[in-house]
Amino acid sequence: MTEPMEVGSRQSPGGRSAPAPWRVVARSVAGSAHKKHGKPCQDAHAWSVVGGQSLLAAVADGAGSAAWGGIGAAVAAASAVRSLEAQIQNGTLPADEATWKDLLGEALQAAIEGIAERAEEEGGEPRDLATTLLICVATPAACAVLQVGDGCVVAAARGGNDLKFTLPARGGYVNETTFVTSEGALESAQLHVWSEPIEGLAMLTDGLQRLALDMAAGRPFAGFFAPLFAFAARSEDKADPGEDLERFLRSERVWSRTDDDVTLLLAALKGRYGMLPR
Amino acid sequence: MSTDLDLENVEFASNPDPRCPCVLLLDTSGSMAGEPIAALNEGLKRFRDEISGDELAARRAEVAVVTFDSDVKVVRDFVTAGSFDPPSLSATGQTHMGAGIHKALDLIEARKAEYKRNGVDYYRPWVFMITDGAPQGEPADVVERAAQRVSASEAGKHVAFFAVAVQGADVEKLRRLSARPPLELSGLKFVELFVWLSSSIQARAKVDVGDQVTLPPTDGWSSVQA
Repeated sequence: MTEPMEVGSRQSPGGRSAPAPWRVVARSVAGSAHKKHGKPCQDAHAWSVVGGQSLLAAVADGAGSAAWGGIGAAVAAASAVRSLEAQIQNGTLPADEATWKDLLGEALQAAIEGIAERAEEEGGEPRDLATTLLICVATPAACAVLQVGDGCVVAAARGGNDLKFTLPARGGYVNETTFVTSEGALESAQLHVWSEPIEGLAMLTDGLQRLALDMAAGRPFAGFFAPLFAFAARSEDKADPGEDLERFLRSERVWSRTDDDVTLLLAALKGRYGMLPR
Repeated sequence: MSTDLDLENVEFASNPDPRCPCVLLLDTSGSMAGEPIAALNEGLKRFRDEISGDELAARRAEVAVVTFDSDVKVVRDFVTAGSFDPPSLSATGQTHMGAGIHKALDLIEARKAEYKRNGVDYYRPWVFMITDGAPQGEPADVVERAAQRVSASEAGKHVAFFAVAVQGADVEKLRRLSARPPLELSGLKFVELFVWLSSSIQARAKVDVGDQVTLPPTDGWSSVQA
């Protein structure tokens, strides 16, 4: 089995002359349960900024029941972001929900194909690489998400006073969800388009769900997200924000509350988040 | 090691633990009298000891006990495993298994409604039926409808229904009642059976989300593999 490809932390060449306005910090960390059983982290993420403006990001949680779930997660996240890069660099950004759906749907399709190819190379079936996948494009004017399975995306508008969010898609029980390799994944995926400027973005996999969401109310827990957005907004002043985030995800405070793999991808639009009174 | 101040300010939502409900549906008809019921009671005590020794399972697993003889009784309604008080059962009368199955499924439906009202996540409920007989002394259509309900619940993934056949049970009839093949108990290995059940529930309750659990092998107590 070859290692999953290296993903994440890429800024497009265009970003060099005009610094990209997005500050991004992301980490996927193996949970205590996986560590205990000697399993690698089966979460993955990938992101990229194109044209200095558009943040393309994906997080994925490989199914524990699948032989190569972690590889599936890495392939899915990277394939989706690559597809978005190609689509957006060659064209303009969508202006309506239908066009967003096409754009994100094609990225999901790319992930499904990437998984199928990899499965064939490994001599397995796509379901051996089963994974959830959350794909997001955020521009200074809008934010769109396509989500298959659990996990969630939370976007902050109006200085963090207005939280837009997706909720985990569940098979009904706590230990069941849908995967990109499930039949009808594309048709059943949730699409969310928020046509207004967002300043902060958080994407997470199910390992953090119970810490980040008020399950009974079905909405994000503000006390979780506000400091994270502030952290992302200030990340360029920090020596090693990635290391800070990783230390946080491995902290006793987090580990005592979840034993699953966790992924947190945070982004803040420079000069926007925190500029308004919270 | 210093922690980033913003990250130190992160607060966590407090959500109730996800619940893992299990109904023990137990045959207390006359044929269970004597050694079998004594062994079953012993098994229940051991079950309590095993499961309450596991902090997470004690909080997440919920156990109810329904018995069937000439009567159907909810001997213990759902409580978290840590507070489970094993009943001391006695055996007498006929085998109203069909009515018992209906009661167990009703209990689960009511519990699920409660979970939903309170925003509590839950795992697929289990019904674990243990019998040494076959439906007896009740109308055939009650039994027939119970079988249909089990089969529909299994197909819709609403419930996982396991039947354990104690020596003397009509395995063929149980096969028709349960979508899964019945497991046959070797001798009176009730204690081994309940240790297994506790480990299975513990394993399920540990899996946070998205993961499937492989159940431990049943060869410690059963002559037939699950």
